[in-house]
Amino acid sequence: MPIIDSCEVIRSEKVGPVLHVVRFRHETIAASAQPGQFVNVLTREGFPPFLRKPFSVCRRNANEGWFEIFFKVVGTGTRLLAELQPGERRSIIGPLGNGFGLSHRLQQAIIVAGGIGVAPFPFLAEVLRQHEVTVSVYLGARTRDELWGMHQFAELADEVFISTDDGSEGFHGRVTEMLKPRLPELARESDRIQIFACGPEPMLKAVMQLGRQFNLPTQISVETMMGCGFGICMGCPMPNPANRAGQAYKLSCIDGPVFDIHEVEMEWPH
Amino acid sequence: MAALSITIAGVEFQNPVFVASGTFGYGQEASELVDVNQLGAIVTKSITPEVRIGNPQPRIAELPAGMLNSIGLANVGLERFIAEKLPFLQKLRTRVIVNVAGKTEDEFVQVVERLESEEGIAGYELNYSCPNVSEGGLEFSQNPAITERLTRRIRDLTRRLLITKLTPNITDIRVIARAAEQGGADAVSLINTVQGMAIDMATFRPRINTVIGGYSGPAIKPIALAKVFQARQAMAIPIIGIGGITTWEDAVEFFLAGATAVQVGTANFIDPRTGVHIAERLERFLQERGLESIDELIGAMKA
Ligand SMILES: Cc1cc2nc3c(=O)[nH]c(=O)nc-3n(C[C@H](O)[C@H](O)[C@H](O)COP(=O)(O)OP(=O)(O)OC[C@H]3O[C@@H](n4cnc5c(N)ncnc54)[C@H](O)[C@@H]3O)c2cc1C
Ligand SMILES: Cc1cc2nc3c(=O)[nH]c(=O)nc-3n(C[C@H](O)[C@H](O)[C@H](O)COP(=O)(O)O)c2cc1C
Ligand code: FES
Repeated sequence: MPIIDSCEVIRSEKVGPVLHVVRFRHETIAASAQPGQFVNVLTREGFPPFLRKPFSVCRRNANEGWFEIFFKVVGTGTRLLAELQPGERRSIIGPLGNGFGLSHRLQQAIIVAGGIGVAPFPFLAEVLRQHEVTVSVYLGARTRDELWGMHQFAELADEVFISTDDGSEGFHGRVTEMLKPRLPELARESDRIQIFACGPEPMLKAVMQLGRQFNLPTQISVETMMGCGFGICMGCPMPNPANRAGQAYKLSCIDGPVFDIHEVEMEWPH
Repeated sequence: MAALSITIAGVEFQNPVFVASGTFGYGQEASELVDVNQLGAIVTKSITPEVRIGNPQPRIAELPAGMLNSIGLANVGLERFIAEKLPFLQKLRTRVIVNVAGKTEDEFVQVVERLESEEGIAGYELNYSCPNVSEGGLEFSQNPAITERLTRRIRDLTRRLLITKLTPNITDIRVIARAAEQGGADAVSLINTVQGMAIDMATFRPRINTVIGGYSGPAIKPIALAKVFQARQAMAIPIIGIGGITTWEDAVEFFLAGATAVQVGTANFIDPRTGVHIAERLERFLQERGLESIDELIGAMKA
């Protein structure tokens, strides 16, 4: 159940040219958040920006009562968040949304992250680790400077594969191209495997297509525009699979942001 | 909260702060974040006879002091509303006003006729002024003859509170407000969203799928206040003021301009407690000013 409260910043760290991690103190949110859920942050009193801004819960520590968001500065709201200093407070609604589904049969997790889409995965990997699931991480970014996530997984993952679009680190190319050769082998054990993906839309489309082609259980976390984040504005629909056209759309804030690849489409019908 | 209570056409509300249609879902969604029983009333998302899936993405665009929307009246439809959403609302102490929409006048009639046999509904708000549907929509609400006729047809069906919701996208709101009064409305609510548009610099594309959509939030408050003031001078039935209300001071301005009650819309997206906070602060304001009731504020702007 989400709460709305003022949360104190207890740490703020620049982790790349435009990448930041901010840690907030809040015992209830820290204790109740599930991997894949998000928080909706008021970046300032007043406006602009007018709306709250959604961020995945990147890490949390229930005992110490804190959670972190990891973000890239892309506009006014994220710039204001990057300037936050310890001791300042911001109004936050969370935890929100449906996180990643974890089946008890799961033995091996394939995490596919593109750029800032790595945000929900340190938390997920930690929980998977507690469940003794083998964690393989495929992490892609445009360039080496945007690979903050790489260091997070050193202790949390069994294997980490890196790709960059410009070849400045690891595999030179798309993260999905790096993953693809492995899929036929994984498909043979699909009942105990799960792919978890988060990243830019073209990457999610590619993962969705691969998941369907190789018949691998796949969950994607989507980022649509959000007006409210808790189901009252109807501003965040995801298209239905073609065979269910005409039914109400899924809302990414309350039905998602994590969806099974058979629940939604990435393209709107024309 | 006695000092805050108001009565419109015999229906008593514990306070004059409602939440606006389309900005509070069906009441339940926000109930984890706010005690919805503290609101004066909940106005539901527009209900149409059939389920409406609404428009494709992008449906909303953020602007510096508000937002554009083109939701397209997405809603669960009449029967699912009754089966799945109404039971929660019926248990509340807060009054429930069902906002009704349709493509044709007959569709409004259909929805109200069906809801008449359901308990726990204080009244109806007619939304025939949504700018985001291609059929019906704006042309309907810009026409005084249709306004009067539609209001009359619903009036003949119900003794419940009947509110006609008005669009600001019109040359002279006084004409339409009078038409609603003549049609037998107990009150008018205004304003619905203002027609607006925004274009993305990077892609040269419109920022919402319908190109032109509904503008809401603090930016439209001065427009709404002017319309309330104009309507107040043109007819006698109560006005429910809507448009950009975020603080208790905003609400007081609307009362001074002539509103009997207010609805909080877009501000709920940022904080669903806004309406409750405004009601609390209004009570304090009345005490501080030594006022007995909200009535003393209504239309009390000095010349
Ligand atoms: C459920 C969810 C979880 C998210 N988690 C993270 C996260 O962990 N880390 C992170 O860095 N970002 C995350 N985002 C995206 C983040 O919310 C946006 O980057 C942020 O809202 C931008 O705000 P701004 O005011 O800085 O930029 P704005 O001025 O609002 O926008 C700047 C640019 O970013 C684009 N943009 C804005 N909002 C979104 C959005 N929701 N999705 C995609 N593009 C957008 C705009 O079109 C524009 O081009 C998430 C989004 C959602 C919906
Ligand atoms: C996302 C959104 C959806 C809305 N949906 C409806 C609706 O279904 N029916 C309706 O009568 N008005 C609808 N409205 C209009 C509001 O009820 C209100 O009249 C308008 O937004 C102005 O008030 P505000 O500035 O406080 O939001 C909607 C507004 C928004 C922002
Ligand atoms: S963001 Fe408002 S309903 Fe999903």
